[in-house]
Amino acid sequence: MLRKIHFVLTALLTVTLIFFWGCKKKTDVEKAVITVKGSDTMVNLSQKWAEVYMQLNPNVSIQVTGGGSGTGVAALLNGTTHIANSSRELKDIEYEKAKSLGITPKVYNVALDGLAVIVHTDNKINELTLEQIKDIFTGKVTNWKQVGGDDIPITLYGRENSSGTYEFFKEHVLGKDENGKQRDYATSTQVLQGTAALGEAVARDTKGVAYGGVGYFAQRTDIKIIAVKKDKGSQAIFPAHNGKVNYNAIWNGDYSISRYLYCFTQDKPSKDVNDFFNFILSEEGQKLVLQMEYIPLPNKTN
Amino acid sequence: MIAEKINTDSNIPERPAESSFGKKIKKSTRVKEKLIKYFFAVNGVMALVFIILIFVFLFKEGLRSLDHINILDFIYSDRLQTDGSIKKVFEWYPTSSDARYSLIPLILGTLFTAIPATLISTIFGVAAGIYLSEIANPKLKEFLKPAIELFAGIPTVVLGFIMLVVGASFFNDLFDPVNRLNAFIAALGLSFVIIPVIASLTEDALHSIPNELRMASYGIGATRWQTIRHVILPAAFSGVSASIILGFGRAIGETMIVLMASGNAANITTNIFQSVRTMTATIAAEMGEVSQGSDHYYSLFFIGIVLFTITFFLNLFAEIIINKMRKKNRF
Repeated sequence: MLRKIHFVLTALLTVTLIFFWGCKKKTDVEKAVITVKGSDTMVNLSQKWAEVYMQLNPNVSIQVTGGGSGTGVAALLNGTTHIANSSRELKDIEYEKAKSLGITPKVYNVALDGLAVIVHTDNKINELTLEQIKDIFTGKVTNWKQVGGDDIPITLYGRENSSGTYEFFKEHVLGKDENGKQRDYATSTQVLQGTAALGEAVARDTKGVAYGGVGYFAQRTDIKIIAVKKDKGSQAIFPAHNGKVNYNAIWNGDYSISRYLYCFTQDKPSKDVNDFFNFILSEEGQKLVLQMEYIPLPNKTN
Repeated sequence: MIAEKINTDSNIPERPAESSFGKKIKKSTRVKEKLIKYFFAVNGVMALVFIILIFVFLFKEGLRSLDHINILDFIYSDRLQTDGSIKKVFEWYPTSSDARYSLIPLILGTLFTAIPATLISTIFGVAAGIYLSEIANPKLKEFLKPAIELFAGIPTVVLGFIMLVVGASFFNDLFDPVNRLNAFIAALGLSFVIIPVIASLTEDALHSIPNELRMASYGIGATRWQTIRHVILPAAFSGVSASIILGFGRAIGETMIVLMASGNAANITTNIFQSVRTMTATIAAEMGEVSQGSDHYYSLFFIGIVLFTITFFLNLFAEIIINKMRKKNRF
């Protein structure tokens, strides 16, 4: 008898559960889902866009995950994400892979990012040329004395070798040597996880120097942002001063270490995805860029 | 004494005449027993199967790196110098335009954090183990042993963070090291994890020494220290060394602390106050964003194979020693 009651109860419970499961699925189907994956630098920004956009359009659900530019592009090519965030342009090898899969990736410029070079507040140095920064990070210059500072050794801090920031700085600042080969960071570079960790490390190390997004560092008072000169004769330009990002210098390219941030989609984005991009590129979307301390596209928020 | 013995002998309770074994077992119970037996058997086999699958996967992916990378490249690579001569370089630089895959700096980095950590932990861990087993009174021990084992359960990311923020600054002011984050800081962080491992296993090893040995030692007039030093420790030598080996294995496999506190620069150095980079930290830092199917990706799996092999043999070695000791101590 007791066993029978047990059986009936279990059966009832199962049926109810299945019923609820079914209901849940039904409501899911009505919502358009957009997945965004890629650059860790852009996760915060993307999430902000998604958040505000979902408030305006309750029938759209946007899921944002990080993992790195490379991961995002790979996911886009595998078809597991609708939008790939990237802090670098597509590599040739990725274009080839896309081609072999019959995909023509569509590229959107969505915002800009400037990289700042930071040192400890006790460091005497205020400005460096691109050449000097290159020599510091390739290990050619090992003492602050050699670039006009005190007689103390330099400790290099950098990002992990698969981050977009690492690659951007390497291509843009370290550049290529006489034989056309990409220069490498010095092997003594200490690798830390994330831009925030770099800020912490430099704030505590009088010998330290690091690079990272201007937005991360602009308002910090425990580190010093270095002004960068394109070459010896040109003017030194601060990417941020007194806690404020110097937008004009980054837009018109006066500040040397800046980059565009991109979103990629497969050939023809669906209407939902397209609407999302219209929002990102609208004045409202670009205001959010500003709010998140990235650099908005020029002529959008005047 | 004798009278007492006779007394207790006669007090042995008689076996109940009818035990439950005699009864016929119901059929449903028998089926249930069988089902439970199979359930546990399947679970036991599953654990083994999963480990073997992981093993196969690791080797399958890792050995594919050898399709593109010469095995010698994992040791050194030849690099043309500016004066035209060729020099052997030992560098880990997989993202360079001419990639270098030498594991030497990573292996040395691993040893350079794991060995000092094991030395520190051996001193404190074995001492703690001796104290727990031989000196502390039982009530204190009942409290202390779980407390030490609880210590081993602190998330390593927390320990790493403490070393990164507090420990590194403290030793930076104290020693003025070459790098603020260095092998020494990482070794200190590691020893927080390994001390409990060694202490707990040492205590187990000492505890398994038969009490007769202690009694005999006290009986011939040895002091407590003499007993520990000349009787207990030699008898438990293999067990204690097994605990140290297991601690060493843990130090090699530990990831989060070294990732946060060692600075992760792939230096080859003899200065303990310089940054080093371990095998585990390399995998953790680079696996996240490496593009799948690249040489770099497979070479990370190859590091995994090296790491797995080292820890596998260390654990095997420790297991053999412990088993031998168990047999020896059966008097």
